[in-house]
Amino acid sequence: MSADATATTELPAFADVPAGTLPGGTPTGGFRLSVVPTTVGQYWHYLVDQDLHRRAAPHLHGFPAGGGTGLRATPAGTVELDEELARLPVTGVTWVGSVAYCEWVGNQLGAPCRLPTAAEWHYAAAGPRGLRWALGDDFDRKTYAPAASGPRPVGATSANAFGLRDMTGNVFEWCADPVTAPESAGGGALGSRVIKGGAYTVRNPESFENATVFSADELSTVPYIGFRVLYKFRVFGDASSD
Amino acid sequence: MHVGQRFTMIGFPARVLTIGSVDLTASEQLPHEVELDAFALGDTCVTAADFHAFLRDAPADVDHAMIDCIDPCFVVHRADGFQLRPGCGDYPMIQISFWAAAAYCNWLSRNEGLRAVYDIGARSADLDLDGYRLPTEAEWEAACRDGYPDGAVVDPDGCNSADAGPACCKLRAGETLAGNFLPGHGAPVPVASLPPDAAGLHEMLGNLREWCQDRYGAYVPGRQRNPRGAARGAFRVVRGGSFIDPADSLGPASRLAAYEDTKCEVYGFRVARPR
Repeated sequence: MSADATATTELPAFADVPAGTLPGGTPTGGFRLSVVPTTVGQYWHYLVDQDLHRRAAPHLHGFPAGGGTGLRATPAGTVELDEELARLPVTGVTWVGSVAYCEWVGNQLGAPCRLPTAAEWHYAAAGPRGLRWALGDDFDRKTYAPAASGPRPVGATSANAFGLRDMTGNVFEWCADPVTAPESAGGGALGSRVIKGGAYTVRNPESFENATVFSADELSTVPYIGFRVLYKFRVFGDASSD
Repeated sequence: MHVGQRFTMIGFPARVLTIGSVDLTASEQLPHEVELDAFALGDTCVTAADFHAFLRDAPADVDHAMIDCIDPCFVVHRADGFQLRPGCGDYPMIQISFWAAAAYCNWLSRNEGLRAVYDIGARSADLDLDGYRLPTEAEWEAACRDGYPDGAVVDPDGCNSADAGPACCKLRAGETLAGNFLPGHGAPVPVASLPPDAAGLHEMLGNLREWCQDRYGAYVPGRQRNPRGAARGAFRVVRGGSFIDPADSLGPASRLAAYEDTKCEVYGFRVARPR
């Protein structure tokens, strides 16, 4: 499927990520991951379906009043779409809002959907050859991270060996994993979640590496964090399915 | 003084002094005479609480390219805007670019009826105006030489360097998980949590590298008056070193460069003004 088509469907399009061993050594029975980050158009479709565009939902998302990233907050607290920006990755969605969207997609598809774990994300981005960045072992700044003041439309980079686009650069992507304090400090949750892939706001090549882990406050609404959806198909006899 | 602002301004007299050093790296060569007008410098870095007050008051003055709200950070951005994380107010503001620091200076100037030094959109500065600004590196060095007449850090517990002593390490943000810094790792300490230097300034050496006004460049030989750095370039001088820098690399003359759009947990700033 072309990058254009994946961005304009009402639901995400998925690529098959085959069974294998995740970084860290856990086996995976394989999964499907959305080809590109969830777009503004797709998130808008969900907002309308759930009647969420008519009220503020600060635990789920917060959009700038001035626009520029595809969805705009009005003074009354409702949300409006800037149609011409529908192919941008949706940003301003909290970790909680990303999880809620995944659950909604799961209900539409009749199969469980969720955010990828950091290990699943890393495995999917690195491909069968275990690459350092999504498309190779060299950091190609022009491809991954051209100078920008905001997100660019999805599908700007070619697909990796698993058929996934834009894993490196543009916007960070929420992963499922919580950030916890070390055992010596009580081991409690710190209210942050892992983000991966780098964004237009960072510069060092290391910040974009598939293995690199950052985190952010789980109620963050910023224009440099998006997310994609993991669709867990069930394989007969695969005990690792969750 | 703006209500709630943590720092106070300390005055420094006009003088002629030697800037640079033959004992450090090529970057501090060659020592040269500088003639400086009187100036005032904040006794501490701008705190996260100070900066948060600015963000709440003037959110349109800063965009997300100028401030990073990913861990570790003292200020996050939620649906209702920028939020100060609990227990973080007294730490110095981090994760802000040179231009975010400049925007804060303009806000202070406006609050006090002074003329704003920076045109953020045009990325330019008029240092002949009377408003708040970042210190020039010569001003910063002059103030630090007053504070450290012997030129170096003596007490490892008095300086938050990579070699900080145990009493200093206990003050680091990670020990209380402030800003999601983690225990046992390098992190900032609260402003004024360490004793002042001989000039009354806190944490000039160590804690955070401090944004200075000057574009980074090799020193120009010969005596100069109120030098303001290189004419062009995207790198700015940062001074004083941080919690990741070895104690023996810290001193009044040591200088480093930072890309002006960088947002990082080792960069902060204090403000200056003509006196």
